[in-house]
Amino acid sequence: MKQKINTYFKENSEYKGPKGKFWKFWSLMTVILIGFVMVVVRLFSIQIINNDKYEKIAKRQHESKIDLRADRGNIYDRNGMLVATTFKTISIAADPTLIENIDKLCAALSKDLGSPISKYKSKINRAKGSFVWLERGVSPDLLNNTLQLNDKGLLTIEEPKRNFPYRATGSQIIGFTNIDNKGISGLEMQYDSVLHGRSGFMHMYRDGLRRLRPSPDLPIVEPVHGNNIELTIDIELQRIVEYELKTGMERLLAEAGTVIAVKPQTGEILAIASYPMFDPYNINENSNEGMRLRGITDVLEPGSTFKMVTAAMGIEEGVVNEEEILNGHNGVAVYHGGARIADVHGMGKVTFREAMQNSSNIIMGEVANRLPSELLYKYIRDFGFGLPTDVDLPGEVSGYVPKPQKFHVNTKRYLGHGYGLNSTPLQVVNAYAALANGGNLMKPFIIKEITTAAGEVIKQNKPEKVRQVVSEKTAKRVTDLLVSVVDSGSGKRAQIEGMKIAGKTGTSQKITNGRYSKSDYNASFAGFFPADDPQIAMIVIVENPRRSIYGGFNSAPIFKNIASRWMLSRGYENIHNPLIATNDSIMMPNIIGMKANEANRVLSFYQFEYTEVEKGKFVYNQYPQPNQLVKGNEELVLTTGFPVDMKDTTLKDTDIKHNVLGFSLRRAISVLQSNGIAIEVSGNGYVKNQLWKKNKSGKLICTLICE
Amino acid sequence: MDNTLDFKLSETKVENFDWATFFTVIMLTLMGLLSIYSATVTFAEDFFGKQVLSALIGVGVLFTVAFFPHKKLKTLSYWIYGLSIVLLVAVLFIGVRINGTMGWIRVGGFNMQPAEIAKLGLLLALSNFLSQKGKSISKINILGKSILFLLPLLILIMLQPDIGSASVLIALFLGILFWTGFNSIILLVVIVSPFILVASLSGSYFYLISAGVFSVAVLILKSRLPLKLLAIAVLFTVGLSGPIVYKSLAPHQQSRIDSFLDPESDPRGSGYNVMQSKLAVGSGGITGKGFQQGTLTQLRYIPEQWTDFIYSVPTEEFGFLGGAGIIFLFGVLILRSVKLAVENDNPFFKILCFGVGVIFLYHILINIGMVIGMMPVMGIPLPFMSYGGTSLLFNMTLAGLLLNANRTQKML
Repeated sequence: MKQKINTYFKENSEYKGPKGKFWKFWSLMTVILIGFVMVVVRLFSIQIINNDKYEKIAKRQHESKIDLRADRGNIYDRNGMLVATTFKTISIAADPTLIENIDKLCAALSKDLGSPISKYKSKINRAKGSFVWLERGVSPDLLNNTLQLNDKGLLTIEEPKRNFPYRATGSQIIGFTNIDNKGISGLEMQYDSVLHGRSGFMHMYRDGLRRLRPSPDLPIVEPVHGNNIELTIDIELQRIVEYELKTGMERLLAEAGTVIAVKPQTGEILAIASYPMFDPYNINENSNEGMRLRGITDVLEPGSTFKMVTAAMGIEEGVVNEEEILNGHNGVAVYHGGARIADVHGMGKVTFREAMQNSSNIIMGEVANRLPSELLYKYIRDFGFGLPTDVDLPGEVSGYVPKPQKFHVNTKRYLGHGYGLNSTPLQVVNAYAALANGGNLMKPFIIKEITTAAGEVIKQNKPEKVRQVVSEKTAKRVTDLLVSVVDSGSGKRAQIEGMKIAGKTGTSQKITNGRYSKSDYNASFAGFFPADDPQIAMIVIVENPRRSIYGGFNSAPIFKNIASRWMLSRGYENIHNPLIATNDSIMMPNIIGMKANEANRVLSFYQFEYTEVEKGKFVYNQYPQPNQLVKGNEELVLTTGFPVDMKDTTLKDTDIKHNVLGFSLRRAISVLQSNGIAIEVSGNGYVKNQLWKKNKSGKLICTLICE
Repeated sequence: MDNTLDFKLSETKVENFDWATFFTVIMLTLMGLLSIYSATVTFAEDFFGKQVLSALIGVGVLFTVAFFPHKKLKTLSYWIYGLSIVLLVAVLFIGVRINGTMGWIRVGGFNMQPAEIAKLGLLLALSNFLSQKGKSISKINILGKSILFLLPLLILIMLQPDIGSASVLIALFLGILFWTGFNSIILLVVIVSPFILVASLSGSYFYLISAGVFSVAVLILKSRLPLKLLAIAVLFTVGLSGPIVYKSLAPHQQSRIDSFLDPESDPRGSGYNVMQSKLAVGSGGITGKGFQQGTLTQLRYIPEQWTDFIYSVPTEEFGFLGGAGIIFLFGVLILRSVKLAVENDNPFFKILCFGVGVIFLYHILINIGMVIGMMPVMGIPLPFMSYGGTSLLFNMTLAGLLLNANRTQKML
């Protein structure tokens, strides 16, 4: 070969160099060889040695795992009203390494959301790596400009956001979720695992333009949606309770307060609220205090409300009867060891009934003292004191009752009028509920039912009787005593004309620094109504009111207001409202959204004359507006009902569950959407009218007329 | 000299038809068509159909060139050179700008790329010029005239601008200088300087090692000592001046150099293609993902994959076997060119075949190197495989010239 090549170079010597051509051929071959070997080695290294690495990167790039998010379960009240639900929001993020036009992107965001362009720019410029949040949880209809951009670096992520159609109402019970939709207080936290479900996922292909394409050969794992929870709470009652508690607290300049309402026959908690409150839409450093449900987390001495227990065991054991004459020692009694018990209203020799009516500490102590220690202790424990009620709410404490072995010589007298032990307000109201329930103590609960998204019942809490504490007969007799407390005793301020209320006031000194405080008091009122057919047992506790220390003055009116408003809205028609007669001006009730017949009942209760502008099923406007002070004789104009031609006669009243009148349009839409109701909107602003119809397939359509 | 343009098949030796080169070219073309089909099958524009048409025309061109009377070829050389000058001027005025380069003239439904014709023009013109008696490249006036062939084309192409094609012309020119006996030390310095420059920008170790290696090469070559020392001095100076010049540049110029040398430093610009094509190649594995199963190809991760990045298609879909197979075919093609350049008795064909080999080698190494992330991104297509009618016809013409050279050589 060498010979041959050299021969030919020599023979064809037109451009022969000064030296032979042999080296030229081989150096050429070497260059070619080196070039090809380098390429092949590189190819080998990429394709075979580092194949795994590149395969992984490529996979990560083009296989996109799409989370199929599980919907968080809804929370309903006992009547199926939605109190916590989830709706879709969009979160905006950016990949700074892929952004094509940062100015355009920031300008669009700024235009949509009103924040300055520089805010987004600096976020993007300061970001390290390839991901930075720009905005989270924005309603999709706000993002018109941004969503039209087609920038590779713009990431839009659908994020569900928790929504509470009743806003702050019940927020202490329900709690709230953080931005990642995880419950961080209340039932949202306690039942997070029940509510959140399990996310699924599917794989999609993402192409070079970042568009997603379905991939038929990759697996899909369907999400398991969260379970729904139905509460025993009645959100309407809860709303009344919170409103009355709050206004009562503000009127009394009180520090804190608690209301618990229980259904005596079942132990279902119908409403539970504490003051101060918090707004889940406006969390700040003061919110923590407002999140606590004091009714189960705080203990206090029950004071005079405990005398019901004393009366019940006294009567059950036959150591006292209503008409027995007892000595009130004119208000001051001194016992062995110098122990001194005093009454605010000193009494001489009076019947047990009178002693109860006027809340004599001395006489109630005397009655308690007639029982053996063990028996006294047994009754107190049987009524549920000193033990947790095992209510299904977080943070319950058990309170404290001294053991009989530890009783001192006068312990029974103190226990008899509610001192020397402490308890949660829930324990007290539950004891009253037991009385209202013929002496049967029920276990309180707040979760009624847990169902899957498909409606299958997973867990159902049935009313659970703990024990019969006293006989039905005794319960009746004590109830009778409690009715007379309200009729003609210390509980007069709870009176509602037309309805019998059984109840007992209480005032207890707060313990501060281990001693009874001279200045800090809890004023309470516990009872149930109507006394002859108990529907609700309720306790109202006002902590440290500044107007007056006495329960009758402080707590009874709140109790009364809640009771009368509630019974009115339930159609309890015997009630006449004494407010009209005594006050020359009255707070205009909010009847917007009420059914016409309900509104009628409320208005006649307040003895208002009114004119209906349109006849129809619902009130959608009223004049004067709610919560204004009006004279009783002012003319009230109601706008009710639908235009006739839009009325859908196939609708049943039960179809129309979601009353959004007066809501802002956005909130109304979120409430209705989350219930799968189709919406048509005319106008903007607040919902003035709500028209229902059904389409051919039976789906509800709600037309919102807004102004 | 035979002045008739008619084919005289009786003169040709059919048994000298170079079947190996022919089949290699056909297989590469088919491989290219397959890859273009896979990369563009979902597109509205029918790239595949157009390329099939180009390929059919190309085979016709190949045969025409292969059986063209070789003496006429020499005559035609300057005409083709002249035509390419005309077209290069024309493209600046009536051309179509694609990706920033004014490089295409629209003819019918096709885009014609004058730069490809210029490559042919320079090859033929230089082969013709230097194969004439007495035209030794060692003579300074002959070197000057050779450079005068190169310069107009180079300037016109840089006006488009098309760095890739310009670099092809330079490579071709240097290759022919080498082959025709130009002083090897000067050539080595010219060829090696860019590498030393790059090495010096990559770090002082690379610079010292590469300058050292090439200095040894210079010392081994037979030449006068002063020239050797001068060459070594030049090599080291180039390396030293590199970083100094670099530092004096404006930041945006620096970053342009950075992204040229290391595309991955610019993942949004030129680096994006390289990153993606490397992923495509790398994820292909030994046997590939299967025809039309390449995820990066099918999901269109590599923009304009069917042109300069076509090699990433067969490597992704047919793996290392496919990729190495293609390299083997190209190897055959280049060895055939060198063999012809060495063995041919016709000085014109000797230079011509060598030039063809240089063009193929340069295109292949730069293009494949670019696809697998070894070389900077330049607009250089892969012969026979990249989409583009002019490029394919040009390569078919080159192959035809090889066949012609083989056919007309005297049997040894």
